Amino acid sequence: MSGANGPSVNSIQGLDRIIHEPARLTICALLYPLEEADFLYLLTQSGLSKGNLSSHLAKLEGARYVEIEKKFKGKIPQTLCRLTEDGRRAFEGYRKSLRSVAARLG
Amino acid sequence: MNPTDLNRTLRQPQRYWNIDGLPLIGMGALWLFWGGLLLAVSSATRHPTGVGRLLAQYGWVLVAAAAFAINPTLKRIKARITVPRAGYIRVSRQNYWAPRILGGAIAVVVACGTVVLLAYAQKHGFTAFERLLPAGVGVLIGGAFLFASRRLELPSYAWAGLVALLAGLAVSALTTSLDSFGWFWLVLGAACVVVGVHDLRSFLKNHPVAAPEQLS
Repeated sequence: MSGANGPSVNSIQGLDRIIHEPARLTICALLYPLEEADFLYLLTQSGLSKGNLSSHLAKLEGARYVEIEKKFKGKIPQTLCRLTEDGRRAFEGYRKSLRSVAARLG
Repeated sequence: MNPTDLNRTLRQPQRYWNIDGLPLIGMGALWLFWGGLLLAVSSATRHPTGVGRLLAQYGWVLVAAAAFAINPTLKRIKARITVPRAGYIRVSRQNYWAPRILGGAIAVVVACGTVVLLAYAQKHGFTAFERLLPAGVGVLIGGAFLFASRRLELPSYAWAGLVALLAGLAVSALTTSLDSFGWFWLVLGAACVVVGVHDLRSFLKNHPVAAPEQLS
């Protein structure tokens, strides 16, 4: 693609690849309106399997987009996940880019 | 994922808060209480008693106290019922307060406007306003429920909205007395409790308590 489509291609290439993956995008979108959520909430709302969710959370944690805290509530383990400031900024940037790409593509 | 899907995912916490039917049960209970109080006050006005006078003077304090108590009570019940089944969330401060302040401001403006209009209508003998009031409130509440039903994809809210609309129109069409407004709230409250209990049963059926190994 070139010419008139050039800017759209550039916009798509500029999308954050960590967030662009659908499962990770879902996790970020689920966490964005929240201060924190536990693993079970992400599991039930995302529809991902436990292993899949764990591996995507680990990738987001590696990119410092998500903070994970493991603790116990009584005798029950609880894994709390939060979007970091970097993660929030990256997600907001991604939304903005996605909107502009969608607008250009009609 | 397109921007529409993304916006839908961003609304999941609101859906999570409403999907177990508990907020609907709480709201219904509050409206049942409000409707019962209106009827009791109305009856006490016709046949004055000590309790009736107390209710007429301080009943609104009970309703206000119940309205303030309902949110913390719901949170406690949700911690026992919803969290072990659907997970725990803490909404960010901005997302928690902004819709509540807006909703509270709209509710106060509508309530104050209604009271002022009602007082004006009674002073000048406009019975048509009294007659149309339940229909107007029914349309407002029904519209809000239908909007929420569509936005949060909760069909049960559409049923509650339909009951609000029909109850408002029926009360306006069948009676001219303002006392009947109490019956409007009773019908609406009962409908919300029934729909909420149905939602809660479906939620409990579809969301078994998670095994401990699923929690990490």
